[in-house]
Amino acid sequence: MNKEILDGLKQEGLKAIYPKGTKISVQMGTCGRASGADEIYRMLEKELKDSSIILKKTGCLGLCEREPMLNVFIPGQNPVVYVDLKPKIVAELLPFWKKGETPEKNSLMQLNGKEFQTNKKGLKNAPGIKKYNEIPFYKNQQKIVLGNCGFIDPDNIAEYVARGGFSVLYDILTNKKPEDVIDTVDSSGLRGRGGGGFPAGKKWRTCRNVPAKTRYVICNADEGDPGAYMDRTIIEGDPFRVLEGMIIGAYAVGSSNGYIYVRAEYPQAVETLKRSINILRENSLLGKHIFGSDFSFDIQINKGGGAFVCGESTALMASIEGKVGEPRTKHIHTVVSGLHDCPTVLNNVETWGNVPAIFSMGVNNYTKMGTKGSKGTKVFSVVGNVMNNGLVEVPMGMSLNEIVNDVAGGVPEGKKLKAVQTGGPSGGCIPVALMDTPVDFDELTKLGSMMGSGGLIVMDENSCMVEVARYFLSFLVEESCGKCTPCREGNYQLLKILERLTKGEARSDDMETLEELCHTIQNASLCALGKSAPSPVLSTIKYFRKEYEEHIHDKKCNAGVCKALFEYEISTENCTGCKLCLKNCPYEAITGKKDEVHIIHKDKCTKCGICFDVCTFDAVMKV
Amino acid sequence: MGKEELVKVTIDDQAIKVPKGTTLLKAAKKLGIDIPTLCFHESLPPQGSCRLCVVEITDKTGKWTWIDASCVYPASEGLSVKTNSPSVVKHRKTIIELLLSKAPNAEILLNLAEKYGASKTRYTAIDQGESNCILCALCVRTCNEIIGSHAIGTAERGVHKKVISPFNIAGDNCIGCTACIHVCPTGAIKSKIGKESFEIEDWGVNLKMATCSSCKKPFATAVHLEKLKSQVNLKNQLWEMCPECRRSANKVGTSYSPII
Amino acid sequence: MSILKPILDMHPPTSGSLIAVLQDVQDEYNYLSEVNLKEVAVGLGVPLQQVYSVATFYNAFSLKPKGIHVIQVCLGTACHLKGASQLNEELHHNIDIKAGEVSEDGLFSVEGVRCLGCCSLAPAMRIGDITYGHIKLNKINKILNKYRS
Repeated sequence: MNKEILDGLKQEGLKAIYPKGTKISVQMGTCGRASGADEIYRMLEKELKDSSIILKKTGCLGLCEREPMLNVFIPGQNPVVYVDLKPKIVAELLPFWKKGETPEKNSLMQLNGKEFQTNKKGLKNAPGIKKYNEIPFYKNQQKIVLGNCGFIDPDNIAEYVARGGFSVLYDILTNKKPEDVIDTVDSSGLRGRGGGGFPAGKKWRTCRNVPAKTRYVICNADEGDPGAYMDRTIIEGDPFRVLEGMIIGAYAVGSSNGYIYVRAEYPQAVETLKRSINILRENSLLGKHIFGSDFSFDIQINKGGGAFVCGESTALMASIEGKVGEPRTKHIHTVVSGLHDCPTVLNNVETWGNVPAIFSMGVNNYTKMGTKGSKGTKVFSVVGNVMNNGLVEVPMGMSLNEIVNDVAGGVPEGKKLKAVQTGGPSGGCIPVALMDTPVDFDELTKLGSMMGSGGLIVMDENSCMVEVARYFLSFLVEESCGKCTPCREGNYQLLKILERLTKGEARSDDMETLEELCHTIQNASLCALGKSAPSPVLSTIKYFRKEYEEHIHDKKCNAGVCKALFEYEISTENCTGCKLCLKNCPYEAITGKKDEVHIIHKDKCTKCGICFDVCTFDAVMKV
Repeated sequence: MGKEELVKVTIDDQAIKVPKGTTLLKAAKKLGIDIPTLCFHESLPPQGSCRLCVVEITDKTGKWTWIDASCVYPASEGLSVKTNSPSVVKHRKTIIELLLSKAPNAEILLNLAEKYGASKTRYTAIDQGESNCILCALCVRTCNEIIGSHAIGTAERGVHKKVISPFNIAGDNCIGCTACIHVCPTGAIKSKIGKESFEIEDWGVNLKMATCSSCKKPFATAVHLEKLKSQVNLKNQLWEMCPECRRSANKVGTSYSPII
Repeated sequence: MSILKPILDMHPPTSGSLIAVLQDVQDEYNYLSEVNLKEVAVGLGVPLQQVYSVATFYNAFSLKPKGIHVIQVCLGTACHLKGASQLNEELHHNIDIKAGEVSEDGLFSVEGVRCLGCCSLAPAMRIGDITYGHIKLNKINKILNKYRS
C-alpha cells in the first residue's frame, strides 16, 4: 500500500458510492435483519438478477424503530431513504426505482447534507422528499463516529477510503512521530467512551513511557450493558474506522500486537471484523511495514464467553489469557502492566472510532464540539418507552431533555416521562425534574449516575423504580465473578432485600440495612463492577424514595408492575363478554359465557398480563 | 543489587520507613499492628478477595481518602493509613456478617463477630449444608500453585461459585498432603485420618496410609511419601519413619545426612 | 489420536487458547462433554481443574446438551421494560420445561441472554439465525409450531 494505490482506491470508492447507474443499499445491521431486512434483500436479489441496478448492503442509519430501511441512489440525485418496509411494499416501489423515480410512499428523507456529498457536487434534490436536516431525529445529531454507518458498504475498503479513510494513517506514518500523535490526542480531550471517561491521551502517554519490549493495544467490544448497542452498530457499519484508530494508537504507543475482544452475542460483528482484518492484511494496512514504513502491527480477534464482568479491563485481559474473567486489584494499572504483564492500552470501540476524526477534523474543530470537560460527541442508544428507539450521535453538552424529546420523539401513547437511566447496571436513574442536565461525564456523575457506554433507557410512568433497581441488581448478581466478599455476598443480599420489597414482604430495618450494605459494597469491593453495583439502588432511593416507602409501608406498587402487589380483575362496566381474554389465557384462569361479564380466577391467574394486553375494551384492570 | 528505595508511611499515627511497594499489611505488622485477614497466607501472593483486611488510606496530599485491601496495597511515600477507623470497623462488621450468612458456625468468624459486634443473623442465610466454606480459595491456590497436584478447583461464578473436585479428579490427583486442610481458615474441609486410609469424602479422596516402621502409627499417605521421595534425597529407611521417630533416630546419632 | 485434533490444530497449543478451543468444541458438539473437556486438558497441557473452572465460568459454555433449537430470550433492559420476564415464563410454560432443561422431545431449550442489541424490537428472542421482535405472548405458540413441524 502506498499513496498511489490509496488514491486509486479513493477513485474506485467514489464510483462505488455514487455509481453511474442506480444503486439500492439495504441496511443490514443486526437490528435491521431482525426486523426483516434479510427477506427484503433476498427478494431484491431475485428481482434485480437481470437488472443493471446495483444491490448493496450497508450498516444502520440509527433509526431502528423504522427498520427495515434501504437507500435508493438514483444518479445525479440525493439518495433517498425508505422505511417501514415489507416485501409487499418493496414490490410496489421497485418499478419506480427501476425507472429512476423516488416516490414519496414509505420515504423518510433524502440524504442531502454536505456530510453525504463526498466530492460529488451538484446532486439534485429528490422531488417531494423531506430533507435529512428537516427530520427531528437527525437534524440535531452530529455524526462523527457514525458518519459512514448506513451510508457506505462496510465491506468495501474503497468506499471507506473515498470518505477520507486511511489518509490520516498515511499522513501520520509519513510525517508524524508517535509523540506527536499522543500530543494531538491529548489536546483533543478525548475521554474513554466505554464508561470510564479516562483521558485517552494520558493513557497512551503513560503506556509509551513504560520501558518495555512488548506493548499491547486492545479494543474493548464486549459491550455488556443491556440496552446498549452502539459498538455493535459501529463495527457492523464502519469497521475500518475502528481499525484505523487502533493502528494509529498502536503506532503512538509502540505496539505491534493488537486484540479486539468482541462479545460472543454479536456474531455478525465478529464476522464483519474477520473480513475487514483480512482485507487490511491483503492491502498491507495490517502486518509488516504498513504504508512501507518501519511500523508493523497486526490484530487478533478474541470472542467473549458470555460474561459481563469481562468488560472490566483486567478481567478482559485475563480472558484473553485463557483464564476465568476475574478482575485483579488495580493499584498497578494495566497501562503499566496489563496483558501478559506488558504495558497495555485498552480503549472502547467508540473511543478508537474517534481517533481518525480528531486528525481529519483537526483539534480546533474537534474541541469546538462538546463541553469544557467532555469534548466531542457521544453515541447513545435511546431505548425503552420512547417513540424512536434507535442510535444517535450528539455533541456532548446536549441536554437529556433534548435527546429524549426532540431527537428521539418523546414518550409515546400519551404517557408521561418518569426517568432516564444512563450508565447501564453501573449507572443511575435520573428523574424527569433533572432532564435539563447536559450529557457530560462529570455532570452525570454528580447526579449519582454516570455516562457509561451510552445506553439511555427511557422510562414512562408505568415503570416501577424499585423493580428497576431489583432488575439491575439481579443482572449484577448473575454476572459477578464471585472473587470478593462485598460483591459476591453483598449484592446477593441486597437483591434479597429488594425482592422482599417488590413482594410486599419488607422488614422494618430493610432500608437501614440496604443503605449500610450499599456503602460497604461501594467502598470495599475489589473492582468497578462491584463498586458501582449499588448505584441503581442508591440513585432510585435518592430520587424516588416515596416509591420505596410505598412498597415497604403500604405494600403498594402504584406503577402496577410488582405482581405480588396487585391483582387483575375484570371490570363489570367495560366487559362486553367477547371471550377474547378467555381464549388467550394460557392458564385457563378466565371463565365466562359469550356476552356475559368474564371472571378471572385468582388461584389460577399467574398475572402473565396477556388478558390485559389483548382486551380492546379496557376491561382488564390492575387493582 | 542497588539499595531498595525506602518510603515513609504513617499507620495509626505511627510512622515507619519500609521498602517501596511493601504491602500495608506487612508494614503494619512491623509496627506490631495486626490487621485481620482470611484469604491471606504467607506462602501465596496476596489476592485481596475476602476484603476483611481493608483499611482507610489517605494520599500524601491529604486530598484523597479511600478504602482498600491492605494485603495488596503497596506502600508509597506519604501514605497515611488508619486500620481501625469507624468506617473500617463498619465495613469489617458487614463483611463478617455477610460471611456468617454462609458459614454461621466457623469459629474464626464467630471470634471476629464478637470483636466487631457482628450479628449471625443480619442477612438471609445461604444454605451450604454443613460446609463453612467462605470461598477464600486458599485451598485451591495451595493445591495448584504450591503443591502442584491440581486436585481441586473452583466452578461457576458469583454466588454460585464453589470449590469442587471436578469429575472426581481428586481421587486420582490428591496426594493427601493435607495442605488444603492446613490453610483453610474455617476448617471447611472435612477429612478422616484412619489407620488404613485418609479420606476427604466430599472430593472422593481415599488414600492408603503408610505406617511408621518404628512406632507402627500411620503418619502420611503412601502416595505423598512417594512424591517426596522423588523430590528430596533422603536415605530410604528415613522415609519409612514418622517425623518424630525420624528425629529420635537423628538424636541417637545414626549416620544420616541432613536434607537441606 | 484425539477426536478434537482438527479443532486443537487450529490454535496455538497453550493455555491462552483455552477459551477459543472450548468455543469451537461447544459450536461443533453443542455442549462440552466430560470426554471433550479431558481431551482439551491434555491437548493444551492445562490441568483439568482449570479447564473445568473456565468451562463453568462463562455463559457461552454448556456442560449439558442443549436443545436442537436454542431459544435465546433477551433479558436486556429495554426488553425487560417491555415484558421479557413474562416472555421467558411463557416460553418455559409452553415448552413445559423448568429453567435449564431441554424439552422432552429434545427440540427446545431456553436460555436468557443479556441484550441481543435489538432494543427497538423489544421484547426480542433469537432462535438460530432468526431474531424475533415485538413478540406478543399469545403468538408464541405460532412461532414455536414452525419449528415443531
